[in-house]
Amino acid sequence: MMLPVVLAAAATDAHAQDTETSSEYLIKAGFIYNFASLVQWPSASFSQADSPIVIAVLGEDHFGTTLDRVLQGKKVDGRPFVIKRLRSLSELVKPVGNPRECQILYVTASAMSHLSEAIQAVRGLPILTIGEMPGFAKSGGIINLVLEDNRVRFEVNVKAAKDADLNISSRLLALARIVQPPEPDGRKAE
Amino acid sequence: MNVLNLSIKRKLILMTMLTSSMALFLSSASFLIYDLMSFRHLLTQDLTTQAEIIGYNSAAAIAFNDEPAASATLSALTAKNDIVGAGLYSPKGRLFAHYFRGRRTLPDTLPSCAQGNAYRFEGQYLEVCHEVTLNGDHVGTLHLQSDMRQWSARARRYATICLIFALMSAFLAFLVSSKLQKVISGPIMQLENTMKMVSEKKNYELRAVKTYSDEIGSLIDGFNAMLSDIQQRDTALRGANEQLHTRTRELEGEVSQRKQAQEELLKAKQVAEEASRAKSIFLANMSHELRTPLNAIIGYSEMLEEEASDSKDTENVQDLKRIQFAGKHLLALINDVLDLSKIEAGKMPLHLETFDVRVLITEMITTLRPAVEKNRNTLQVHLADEVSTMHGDVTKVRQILFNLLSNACKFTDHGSILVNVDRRSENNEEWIRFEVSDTGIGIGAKQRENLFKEFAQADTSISRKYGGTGLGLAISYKFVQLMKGRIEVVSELGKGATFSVQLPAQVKVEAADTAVADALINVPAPAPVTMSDRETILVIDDDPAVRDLMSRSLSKLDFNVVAVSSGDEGLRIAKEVRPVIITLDVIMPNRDGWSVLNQLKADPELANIPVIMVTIVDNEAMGITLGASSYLIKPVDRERLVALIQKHRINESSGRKTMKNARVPAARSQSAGGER
Amino acid sequence: MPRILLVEDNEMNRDMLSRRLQRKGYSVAIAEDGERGLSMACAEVPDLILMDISLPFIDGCEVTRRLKANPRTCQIPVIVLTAHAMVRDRERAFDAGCNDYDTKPVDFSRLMGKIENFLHEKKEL
Repeated sequence: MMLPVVLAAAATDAHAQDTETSSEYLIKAGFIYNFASLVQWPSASFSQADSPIVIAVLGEDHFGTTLDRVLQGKKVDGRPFVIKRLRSLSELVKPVGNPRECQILYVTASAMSHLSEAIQAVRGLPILTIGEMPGFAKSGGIINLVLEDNRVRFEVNVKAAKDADLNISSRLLALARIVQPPEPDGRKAE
Repeated sequence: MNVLNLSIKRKLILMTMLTSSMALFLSSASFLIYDLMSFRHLLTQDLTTQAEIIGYNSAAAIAFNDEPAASATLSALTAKNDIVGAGLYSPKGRLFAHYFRGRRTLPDTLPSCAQGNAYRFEGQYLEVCHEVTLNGDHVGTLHLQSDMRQWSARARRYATICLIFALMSAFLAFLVSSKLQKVISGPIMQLENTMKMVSEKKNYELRAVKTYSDEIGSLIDGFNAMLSDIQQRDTALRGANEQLHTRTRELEGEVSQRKQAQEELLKAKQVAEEASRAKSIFLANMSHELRTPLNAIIGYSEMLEEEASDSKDTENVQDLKRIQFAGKHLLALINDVLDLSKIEAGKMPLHLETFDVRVLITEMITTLRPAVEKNRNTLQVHLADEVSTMHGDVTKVRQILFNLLSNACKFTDHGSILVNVDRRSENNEEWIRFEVSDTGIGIGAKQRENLFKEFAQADTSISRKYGGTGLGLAISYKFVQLMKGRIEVVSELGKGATFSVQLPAQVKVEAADTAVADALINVPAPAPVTMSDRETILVIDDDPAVRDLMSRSLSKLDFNVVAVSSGDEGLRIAKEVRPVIITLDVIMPNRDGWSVLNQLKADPELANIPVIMVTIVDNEAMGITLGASSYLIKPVDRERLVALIQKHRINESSGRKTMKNARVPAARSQSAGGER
Repeated sequence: MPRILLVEDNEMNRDMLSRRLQRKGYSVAIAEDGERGLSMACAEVPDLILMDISLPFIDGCEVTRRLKANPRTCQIPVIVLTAHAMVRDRERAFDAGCNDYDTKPVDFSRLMGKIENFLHEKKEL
């Protein structure tokens, strides 16, 4: 894969402060930040005005320190970021019923096997689910990060967002590939 | 073309149009500027807003590094015709996405847009930079370029409208001012017309019409007042002119009358002069004619007497003596009569010279010695020492003394005769007194009354007895009068007589006694009178010997002689000195006499001076033709020259000078025979 | 016999004078005008010249001058006869060089006296 090179080229324009060659995960991290900027959680998601935005990472963390680095000191709407690494799905389940405990769920590639369970776990909760494997959005995830033409693109499952009571900015939607959940008659529009 | 010299009408119209145009221009300019300025501001704002919107919309695209999306957003700008370029730049300044219209290109790096959100006008373009932010983070910069076409279009529109309006209002201003200027220019032009008419036709009755009571109105009033003034003066002037004409005519009449009178007088004078000349000639001729045969009678009878006495022809001697005696008596009578006639005719001029009285007396005594001794009288002479010379007419003095002495001798027998001559002063003047006393028969009172009258000898018997013509004393008396002296007699019958004659030591001549003709006309001299009493003769001759000779001769005749050696100098001096006469040589170097003569006669100042040509060249005709008064051939007979000068002077002086001391020298041309 | 040259233009005067002079014992030569007088004076060298002042062509004074200017004739005494009696005429005559003058009409005896004086003088010389 030419990814590193491509990523390196693109990384200079990416929303990143440092000039070092960034990896795919650097970009993804940036995207996550951006998503946070362009998505609105219901007020119930936060107990206080300055309650952090919690990102739960499910699965093997390929970000390394990147995500932490990128989100360090940043705030969205005055809310800092907190990253939680979930060791198991059960940890996710725990906060069930308490949506304030997590606003973003990042499902890594390694946790794809547990995808449906994860989706199930957060169904109805105002949690922005972000995945990085194909089929994530179709499966009910809200945003899926996709590598295309050596670029990081993303898909958005609008229905899922709606179901999660998340308001995704049209600006974000304009850039995204909208994913329709499969129609009952099995037709999908991509 | 000098604008200031246009007519009032044009000036007024121009002024109005200029003023209104300026006002219009200023107001529309200010409006225009204001509007365009605010429009520009508007556009800027518009563009800035655009940038904001685009920026907002493309924030996500930049953040997500989605170039196509960003470009797509930018391309929405197609809708805006005036935006020619848009560029999204990364925070580092590199071009991320772009849009442009036409051929416009965008710089690859972000041009320096101050910082953050700013705009600037670069050339014809408006550029706006806008910070694109997402979530407060500066994700990029949007740079928009607008060609301001809206603004240009607007400006153009405005300009066109303004122009049209300007033209329209200029036209309107022209119309209005054309009408309105009449208020000013109308009266002025009228005034101008009136003035023209007045000055062309010299009609001072015209008046300008006053229309308004403004400054022009008062100008018109003033003008009219001046016209009235002029009219008055003109009338007065005409009147004065008429009077002047009348007066001039009168004066002309007078002048012509006077001229006539003058002419008549001149004629009379000429006639008188002719008569006088005739008289002179007559007398001179008579004198000559009478004396010549008498001299022959006397001379021959003397001679015959001598011959007879030599041949002892005593009878014949007696007869011849009688003839002689009668002849001498006749001669004496003739002389006396002629003398008296001359005195009557005023032709007895005084020939003044300085002579020694002693010498005269001595002469007389010598001459009269026989007469003295005839009657055995004694003669004594006393001459005072102070008596030396006197200035008078020696001939006349001699005659007077001779008369007195011969009378004394005649009327005294065995008596004594005393002659006393002395000098005395009276009234600041010197007189010489001659006294002749005798112890003769004396003169009675009655006789004394008529003593000095002609033919006063009581009867012819006395002349027969004592001899003499009876005219001597009358002549002496008249001579003494001429010399402004006195003659007296003191006598008693039987006791002798004393005749005394007192004459001025310096006898003077006055023109009244001599030139009668001059006294007829007393014309004031128009020409300047010479400084000295002496008249000037100008001698022009290149020969120094001639000049010298002329000078000496003529100055002896009491002329002031100026001698020059060239014609040119002569002309110059003639003008300065105004001689009475000019003598002119013909042969001279540089300029010959003919040329000088011509010049003299051509010059009005000098043409009247008589010119006597004195030359060896015999060309009298030429001389007279050219205007010379006389022509003499060298060598010159001095007497002739002098006579000519005299003649010309008398002619000249009658028209030029008054009462002048005319020292007329003896007119020698008159007689060849004897003259007493 | 002394020779006298008489220069006189008047015929009667000439006749009278010359005859009277001749009677007195003088030889008389006659000239009717100045020119003739001059030439005769030069030719004959008379002992005395009697000259009338008023002569035609050249006047007596001029003749006198010429006579006195000519060495041949300058010694001849000249008596000038003039009708004018003024001092000036006298002066003119003497200026011209005449030796004496007398007035006209001629007082014969007086004139004789003058002539004799001059001739005596000459004789004595």
